Amino acid sequence: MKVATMTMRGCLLMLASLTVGSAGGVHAADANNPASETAVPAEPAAAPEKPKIDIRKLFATNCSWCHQDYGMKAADGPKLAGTSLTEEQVIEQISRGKSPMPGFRKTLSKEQIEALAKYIKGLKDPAN
Amino acid sequence: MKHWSTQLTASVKALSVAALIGTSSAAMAVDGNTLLNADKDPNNWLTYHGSYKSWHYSDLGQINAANVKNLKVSWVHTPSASKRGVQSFPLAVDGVLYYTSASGQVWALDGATGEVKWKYSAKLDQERSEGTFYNPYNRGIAIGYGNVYMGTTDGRVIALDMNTGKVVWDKMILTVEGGNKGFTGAPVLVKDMIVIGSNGGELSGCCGPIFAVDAKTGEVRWQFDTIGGDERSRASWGNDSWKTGGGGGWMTGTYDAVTNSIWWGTANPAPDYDWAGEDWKTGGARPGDNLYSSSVVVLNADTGELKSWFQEMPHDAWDFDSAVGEFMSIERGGKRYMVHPNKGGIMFVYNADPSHAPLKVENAYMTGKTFNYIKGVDAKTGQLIGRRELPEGKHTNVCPAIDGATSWNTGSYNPNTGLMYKVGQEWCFDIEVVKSDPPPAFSGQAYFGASWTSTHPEGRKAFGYVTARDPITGTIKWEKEYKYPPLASLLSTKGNVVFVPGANGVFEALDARSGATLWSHNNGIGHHGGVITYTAKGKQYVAVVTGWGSHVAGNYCPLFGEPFCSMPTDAGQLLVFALP
Ligand code: HEC
Repeated sequence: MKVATMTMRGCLLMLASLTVGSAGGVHAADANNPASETAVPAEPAAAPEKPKIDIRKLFATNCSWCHQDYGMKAADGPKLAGTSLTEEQVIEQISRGKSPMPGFRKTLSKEQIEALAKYIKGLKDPAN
Repeated sequence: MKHWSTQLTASVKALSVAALIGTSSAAMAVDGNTLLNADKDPNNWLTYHGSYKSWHYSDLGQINAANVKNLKVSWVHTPSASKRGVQSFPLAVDGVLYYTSASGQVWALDGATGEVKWKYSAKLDQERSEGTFYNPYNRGIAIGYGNVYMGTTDGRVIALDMNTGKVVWDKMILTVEGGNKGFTGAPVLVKDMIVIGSNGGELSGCCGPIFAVDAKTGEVRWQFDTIGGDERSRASWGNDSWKTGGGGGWMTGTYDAVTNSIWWGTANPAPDYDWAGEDWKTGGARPGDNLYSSSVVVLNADTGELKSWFQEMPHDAWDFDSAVGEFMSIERGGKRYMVHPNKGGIMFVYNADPSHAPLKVENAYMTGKTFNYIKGVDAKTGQLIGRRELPEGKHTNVCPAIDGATSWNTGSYNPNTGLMYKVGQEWCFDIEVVKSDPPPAFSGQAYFGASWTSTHPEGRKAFGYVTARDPITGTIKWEKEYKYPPLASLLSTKGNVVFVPGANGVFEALDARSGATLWSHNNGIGHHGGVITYTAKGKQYVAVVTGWGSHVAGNYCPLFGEPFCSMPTDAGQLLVFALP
């Protein structure tokens, strides 16, 4: 157990730095791709050492197994656009999970989870 | 082998005597020998696939095409809440029905009345179980040596006394250090061993093991690693990518006593999806064929050594596992075949002789109708023709979708009609493949990168069907189209009935010869599990499980709307039917 957890943490850091450091950041606006439309609120321009998180990749590599089209469509998991949960509740949901949704508090950083929550709360539900 | 066949004759005799007498008060002793003849014992349903032949067929004929219209609910059992429905196959021994519901609950019920004999609830490591995508599935059990055997999502195999439900042994088989995956599929009893495969095709980690566990003690007898276990496999994963390669064998395979071999289907490779595109032989996340992912492996039952294999999807770029489905053992014209469906909508007809390595393909034909991930399959070699790769970026109208043209639900073969009955599902998706970073080698974390939207096939709405065909040639005898593709397994009987548990909750009986609908009953919620038949006190019953919710079932709301958007995914039942 110990060994595995430690290795996991080590690599988590690695993962986090990879993701956060990814040069592309949030991709340029694309009408068909809500993930790239909704930029994570950028840090003030004065803090370039804290790069943006690549939401598109974060979502595609963690969430899209169950949430289709970057959260715009219902599938195994519900549509996330227009969720009635507050941002704090969304953070809670991503961190702790809710069976069958896994919790991500051990595999994603606080910053990544917060960025996902911001992204989800920023999605516009076309049905409304 | 000799030893086994002598015992076998004795147990066949014992069996038929018991059948003649009707019910005996002492529980029938099920062991490896009993299972060799499970197909000759229609009163019981002794193993996941009905028998090692994997026909999902019963020789019972009390309920038949002429009287099935009178079928009525005899009793119902509700297993409390069952997240993502009940997806398991019940087993029936001596008039007692055993089945599992989600999260490792096991029930023993009087087969005639539904009265609960005992119940067992596994205490799971929730954190570990809920860490995977496949939580809290449980797809069934094995029975033998006085025990009921179940795998758990946290990597254990548990043996329960079949008379009392008390734990006989409870062993951690797949540790966190060993890959942090688990078991969702039903084990199968082979000789005096329990064989079970791990889940986790899209989870990082090696080595997607299949285990044989001593049925009496729970000790691991052997372990076969579906990836990275031998030089041939390692050489087919560039840059040591087998270490994060997924694999596994999450559904139930079978045993062929003639060659003393285990036949098992393996899961897809990770990452799911690879972004390499055309350069997959040398570039991308997992350069090469990625043996033995999306393959069939044939193992020496005593040692777990690989005898033969066939990779149905070399460098699987689409998540079309070979872990799904059954191995139908069919003899014709002095030749022995193994018929095995692949998720990509291909039926592979293998020569059952594993001295051919790789396996000899006797025929291969498309069962899926809407496909463009390949142009077709070579009937003589089983090789894919005209692959459509999915490099990083967007791809529209890829068919079939990740869910495949067929899922893990089994078909049925009826020796009287000579027909194989099988469900098909037809929809597509628009997918964006996103480059993913490899998680730690043994973490069991998702290694996956894509986002998609399910779509209808061009020019028509998504649909499904049950097809009756010659399993060897693929020639279609009849086909019945379904607005909503059924996601449950099928059962056919000597009474010329095919039972089809429907996605919308309607449970149907079709005429095995023509496909005509003979009877239907709305069970109120979608079916996504098994269906069996057995006798209790001399009377024939049909048992089916209900309940909805899974990765594949998740497409039904976006594709079809109601009744699927409001269909509960936390409920399910066992319904048992009989003639009045
Ligand atoms: C294995 C499938 C699965 C994965 C992977 C998954 N989810 Fe979920 N998600 C679900 C299911 C199922 C629900 C509904 C749970 C319930 O309420 O019972 C859900 C609910 C949610 C909700 C609450 C929505 C609401 O309005 O109630 C949010 C937010 C969410 N998921 C975000 C995410 C994010 C972000 C990720 C990736 C980091 C993710 N999910 C990964 C299956 C999944």
